[in-house]
Amino acid sequence: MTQRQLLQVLEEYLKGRMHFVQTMSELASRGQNMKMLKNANVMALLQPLMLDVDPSVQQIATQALGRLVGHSEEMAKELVQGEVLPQIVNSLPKHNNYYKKAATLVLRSVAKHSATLAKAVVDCGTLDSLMICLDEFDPGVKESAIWVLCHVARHNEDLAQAVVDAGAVPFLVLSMQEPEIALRRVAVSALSDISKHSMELAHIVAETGTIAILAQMILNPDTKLKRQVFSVLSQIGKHSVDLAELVVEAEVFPTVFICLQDPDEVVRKNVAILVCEIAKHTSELSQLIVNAGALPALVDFIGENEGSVRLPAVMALGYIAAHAETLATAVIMSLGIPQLTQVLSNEAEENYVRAATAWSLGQIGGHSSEHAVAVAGENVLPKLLQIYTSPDSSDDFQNKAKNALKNILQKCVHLPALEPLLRDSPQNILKHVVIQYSKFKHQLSPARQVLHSHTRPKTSSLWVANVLELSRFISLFLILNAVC
Amino acid sequence: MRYLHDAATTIQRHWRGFFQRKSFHVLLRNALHTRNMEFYNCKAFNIQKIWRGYYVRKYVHNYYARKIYLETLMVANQITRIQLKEIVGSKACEWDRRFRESDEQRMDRLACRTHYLVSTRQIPGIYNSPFLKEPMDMERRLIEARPRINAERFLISARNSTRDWTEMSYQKPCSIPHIRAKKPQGPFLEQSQIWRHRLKPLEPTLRVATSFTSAEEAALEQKREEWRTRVIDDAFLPFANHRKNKKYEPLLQTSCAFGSIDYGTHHFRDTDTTKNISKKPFKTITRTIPLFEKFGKMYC
Repeated sequence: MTQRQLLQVLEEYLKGRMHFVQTMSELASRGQNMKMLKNANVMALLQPLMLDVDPSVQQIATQALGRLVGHSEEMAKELVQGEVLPQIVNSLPKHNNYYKKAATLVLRSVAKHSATLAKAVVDCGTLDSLMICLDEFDPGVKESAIWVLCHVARHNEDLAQAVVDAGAVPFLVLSMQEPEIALRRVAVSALSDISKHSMELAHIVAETGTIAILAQMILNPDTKLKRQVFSVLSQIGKHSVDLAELVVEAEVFPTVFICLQDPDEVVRKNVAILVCEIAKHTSELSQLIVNAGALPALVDFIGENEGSVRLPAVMALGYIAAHAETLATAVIMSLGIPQLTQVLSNEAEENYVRAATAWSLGQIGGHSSEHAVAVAGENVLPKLLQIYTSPDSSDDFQNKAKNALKNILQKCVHLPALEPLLRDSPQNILKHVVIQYSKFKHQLSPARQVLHSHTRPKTSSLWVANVLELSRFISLFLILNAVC
Repeated sequence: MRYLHDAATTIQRHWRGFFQRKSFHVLLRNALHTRNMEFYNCKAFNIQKIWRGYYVRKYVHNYYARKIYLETLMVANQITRIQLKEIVGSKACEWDRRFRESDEQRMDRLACRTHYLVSTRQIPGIYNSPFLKEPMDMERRLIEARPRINAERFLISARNSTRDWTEMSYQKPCSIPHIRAKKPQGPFLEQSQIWRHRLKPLEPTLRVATSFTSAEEAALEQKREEWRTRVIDDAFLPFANHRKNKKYEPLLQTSCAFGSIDYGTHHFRDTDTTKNISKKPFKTITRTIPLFEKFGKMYC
């Protein structure tokens, strides 16, 4: 065989490998081919090609493997068991940018499925090689490296701590300020995944001056970036009062309400979550937010949106009202209650939103008699009662409705509002209603008329089971009757 | 006997009177004291009552402050609502525009890819139904679609990302590198090389990039720096004797930028070849800067 023939054969072999690898890569990018590929045991064929002589075959094989593994968890486990990962990780720093991108794609696909797989990835020493990748100039390589960090840190606190210990946070903060939008997005989402687990991690993220940079990115026109920015801010602010104060000091607050009316739903939801997490902590923070104009923004937000997007806003109103009586009055005066009752009655699918609304109403009405009157004025109490007594509300929902009713009833002295409750309420609620009525024993006519029409028929029927309750009830009844 | 009793009673009577009269003063003083204390206590209660009322009304639960706060909050809420509406209104136009633009671009790209669906004279295309009065909008797009070359595609994507034009560098398209299939006969350069050179952005040389007036600007900057930093013109020289109180000014001929010239040089700019490492002079291996700048950038 001459030299030329040998070269020809070798070139054909190379072409064959390239063709195979490219087709696999294309097939793997579509989800429906996964089963076929798995049955054909393509993984075992691709693994040795990753160590091929020709660099382009190597790169495309790695890319194909990355895509394959991304679609199914069993393949990821197989890959980890085949102990290919350490080789990929070790060769990461040596090869060119395409290989780096493909290799990081593989690592990312393995790490995203579960915490054990992510741990396996970290154990191979990925984080150090990734730090080297982050040093590169090419933004595509940086982006893929940060994606891996994102997926690793997402699962649990230890992994996020490992990522932080490898020194990733300064790189992420620098990448956030790069001009490429995709890089920024992914850096911000990595920070969000790191800071969501615990207070120390959030502290580490916040102390590098990140919050100021994030605050500047709020009015960036890119939607996905905004989603991630608000999600980071809410993750940082949720852990402790100091962190929430840090977020507020970055002067995000009046500007954030503009984004409550962003056309993208996820952005709006994330903004509402941010407001809710910050209002949760102390009454001073709630007051700060209210002074910045949160109430009209939240109330309008509840009115204009549907479904689970409203949940954080409803909870935010509840938290604000729960802290102080003045704030609860402010919520009432900003016409919060009509909106909340509308949610309670109109929300068809999401019962947890209605449960949160019931809770919020309870918080608002529980401060004093004026608050209870304001809440009861919108015909809320019969609705709450109906929710409590209906058999198809979930336990959690019933609990919340009951607590809300109790809270409001303990302060409500407005008799017309209490009237509808006398008819069908169960014992424990009726007890509170009657106690409220007994406070009016010194007044004559309104109590008398109502009593005659409602309580007499009730006691004549034998729905009172518990003896203690009966005695208590009778004693109260006697007190009331002494009036008549 | 009776006399003794009477005498004893008299003595006791006198004694009791005397003794009680003495303790009467003490009693009186005590009673006065308690009455005074009661009086002062009443006054103190009064003061404390007034103070507590004032303090609670002013600091703990100030009704009027709360009222004013709620009223101003309502006004502020109204203002916030109006401002938000304004800002969102202006943004909404922009969002709308961008949405429509992206929609337009998407349709144009679709038309580019499916240009073969354009209707011909023989066969009307799917967007040119005979039942419609005039062809659909897509038809117009199909007709206006022009083929796009690879280069434009990534130039467009480069333009879309928010970058300064001077920072735009060659971005290879996302396709995989070609394998050397069949090389066309002839001394042709590689496609990728050609495109790289054609689409190279401007990389001005150092000479071009320095401003025309850079020397004057540097002088100005130095002047400004001196004006800013030099606070004292006459440095404090701490000799008691005024004859010694002069700053030493070295000769221009015996000093160079790195301090004074070595001891033993015979004349200014004297070179001593015995101290050199080798006998031959140094040879420049690297090219000079203007030539080195063209490295890798020429089309060869």
